[in-house]
Amino acid sequence: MIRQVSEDPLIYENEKGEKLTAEKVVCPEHGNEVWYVRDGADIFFVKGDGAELFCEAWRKAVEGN
Amino acid sequence: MAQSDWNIFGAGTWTIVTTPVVSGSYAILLDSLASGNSIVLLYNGDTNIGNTEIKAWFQAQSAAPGRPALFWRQQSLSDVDNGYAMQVVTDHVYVYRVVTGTWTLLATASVPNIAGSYQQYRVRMKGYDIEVCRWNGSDWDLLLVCPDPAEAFASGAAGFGNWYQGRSYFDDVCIGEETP
Repeated sequence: MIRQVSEDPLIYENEKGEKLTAEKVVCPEHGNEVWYVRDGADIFFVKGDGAELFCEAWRKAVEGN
Repeated sequence: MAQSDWNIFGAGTWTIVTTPVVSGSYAILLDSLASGNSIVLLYNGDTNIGNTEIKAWFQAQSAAPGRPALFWRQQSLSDVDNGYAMQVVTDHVYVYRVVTGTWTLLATASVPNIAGSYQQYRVRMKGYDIEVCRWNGSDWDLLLVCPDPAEAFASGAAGFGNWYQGRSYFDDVCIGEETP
């Protein structure tokens, strides 16, 4: 579980109370900015166009970093 | 309720089915199989619900797992670009605030896999605090509580749908004012 603790800057908190700061990537398929956080191996979409909710292109771009 | 009580939109279809059902004789199958497709039904009988409560049984179809979603405080009856949304994807529930089509995650929680068997969820929003619970067979398990710090939408329309890809079944959907 993660939950938002700050809107600006965009920060989340996991169950351990660890702060997760959002990072940004540009979706190579749609050209939209996508904000995401990493919690261990998990990558969560946290802000962006609805088309990016389940877009694999930006996730692959992030995982490639 | 009649079909005219709902505003239905999206690139998908709905079908009344006799199986699987939770109670009674019928459930509704929402089919938006293609990637990026969705179908939403917003109740048009009250488009100004403040302290919303939605209860619904739903599941993703095992063969083509959908992404069942609940929507509330929606500002339009023809899109879900401004309001709140809760979605269950595989084994996580996600709560979002949506403003001019930008989705912002407020909280997540782990849940049993939604594919292949019905689960009942309840979302309540009182003031700007959102509570999501799951029925465990005898009581409601509290999954998450989160505020909307932006206090974006005070009231609006509510409904349900299959948001992006796959198929979902819904039964016994109840929409109304939050109860004490």
